[in-house]
Amino acid sequence: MWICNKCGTENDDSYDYCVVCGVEKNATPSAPPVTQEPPKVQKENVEASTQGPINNSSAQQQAPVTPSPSASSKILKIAIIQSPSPELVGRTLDLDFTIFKTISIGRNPENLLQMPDGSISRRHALIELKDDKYIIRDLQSTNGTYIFESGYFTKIEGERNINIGDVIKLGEGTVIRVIQ
Amino acid sequence: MMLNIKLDSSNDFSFADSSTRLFFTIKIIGKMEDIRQKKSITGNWLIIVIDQSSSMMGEKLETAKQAAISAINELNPGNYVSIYSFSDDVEIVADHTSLNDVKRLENSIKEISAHGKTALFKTLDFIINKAKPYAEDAGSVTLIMLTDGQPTDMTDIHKYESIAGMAAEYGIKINSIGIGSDYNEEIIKKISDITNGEFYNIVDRSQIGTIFGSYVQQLNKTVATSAVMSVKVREGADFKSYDQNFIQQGDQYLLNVGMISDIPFIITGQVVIPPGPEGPVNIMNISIDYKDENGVSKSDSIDFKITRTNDSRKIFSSTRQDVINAARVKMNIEKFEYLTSVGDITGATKAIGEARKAAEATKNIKLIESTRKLENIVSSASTGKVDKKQIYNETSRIKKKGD
Repeated sequence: MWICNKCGTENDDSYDYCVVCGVEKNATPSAPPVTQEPPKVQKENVEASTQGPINNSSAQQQAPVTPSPSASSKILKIAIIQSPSPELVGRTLDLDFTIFKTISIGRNPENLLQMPDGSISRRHALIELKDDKYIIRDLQSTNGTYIFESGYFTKIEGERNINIGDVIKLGEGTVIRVIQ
Repeated sequence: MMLNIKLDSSNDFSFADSSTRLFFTIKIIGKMEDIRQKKSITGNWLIIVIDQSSSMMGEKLETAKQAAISAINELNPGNYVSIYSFSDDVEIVADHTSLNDVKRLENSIKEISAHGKTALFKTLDFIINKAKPYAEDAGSVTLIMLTDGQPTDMTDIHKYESIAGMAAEYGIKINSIGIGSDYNEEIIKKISDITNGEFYNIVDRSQIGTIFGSYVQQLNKTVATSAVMSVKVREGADFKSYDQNFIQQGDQYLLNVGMISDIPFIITGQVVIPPGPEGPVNIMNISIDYKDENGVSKSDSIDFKITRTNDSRKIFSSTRQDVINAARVKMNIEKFEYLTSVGDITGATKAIGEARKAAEATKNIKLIESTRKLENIVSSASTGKVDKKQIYNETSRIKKKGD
């Protein structure tokens, strides 16, 4: 296997080009962009929001990119531990469920958590706060959502609870860890 | 315009600093309104070639004859048929005949009887040369060839490649049907591949009639004939198709498509774009020349434009996974077919595994079943002894029909 220098996809040795982003094997890694934007949390796809519409600036405030102490049990803190965009690796995000009951993850801008990874589907997964428990639900994504257990990534079919310490893979190139 | 040409690519962007491979699917289809208005074109030529060697004696030959009789009865008037049979030599049953007297044609077909050997090369050479002037000057030629035995006049596959190359140049599409377990699948599959025809391995004799019928249905819904596709690549890009056999002439790639009906004609492949300055580029031009119902020459074309960029986010967010998955299946099927033909079963097993994974990502049930079936055929075979006839039957269908 070889890992694509651009998008992080694992490719079979027989492939000369990455099957997701198309770049040639051994391509030069991309330099981080000058302006480093975190994955965006936007208002457009608020699903079952408990507090009705909010403006974009407040949405951005609810997703700070720097670690912050958890002020409420309704904030789920995640860390990005693998991403095709090197500048995102190591970043932490606070997902605020006092505003959003459901947070959508995907490649397209209409998601609350937009991930720049070609192997992630346009609408990939949802994280939901349900009966005081966090669950993740795969939206029949093309490349799947996985949870690391017993030494392997296991595909999530439907939905399952997530807990602190869980490592979740989205598509082929993005891995996040639930840290708080 | 009577044709729709649709191009889907795996991305609208490529990396400015590295070579990038993009997958594409080109779909050509006769516009449905023309077919609904019954503007289908006649003047096509259907050639049926039946092996009448002694091994065909009995039910096999009778079923083939009945399929040929049904075909000439179902084909729209205004088209032409030729029926040839072969054993020690070629026998002309009907030669570029109109459908004015179907009864007489039927009687001629009924008279075909089994005897002798299998002079396949001599037969194909004769028919291709016979069809050449018509194929060059007028309509589209669809040839269906049925055989059950090893060729007895020529066994050198390169000779067959040579005459198949001529047929492809003239626009003669050779669809081959192998029946039984004794025919040479490598030879007839190669002929079909080179001429962009289909290959079938028949297990159940009743399939013969169904296959003949499917070609007649296509001919009856013809909206364009003599179609030739030309792909011109720019910027030093490298073009490759996984499912059609193009003839390369410099930076131009030609494909004799022949007749076009309401059944989509699909070309799947890749284009490798070298690095270059950021900004938009026209990476290839796809044009198709054809004749309409009045025999008037027409042409349509589309451009494939992409933008080179250093912003990888643009590339990641523009990825079209459905195009990638469909192309990955065909890319690996092509690889699987090749590795099977050269006897590299380990490599073939790996390739079909990759094809199956890509098929699962397409969520196309028929495609998933086909690739799983191929995986089972390879895994259950004893070392080096895979059933190539069965394998090629599946791979040909996946490549040409997409499932």
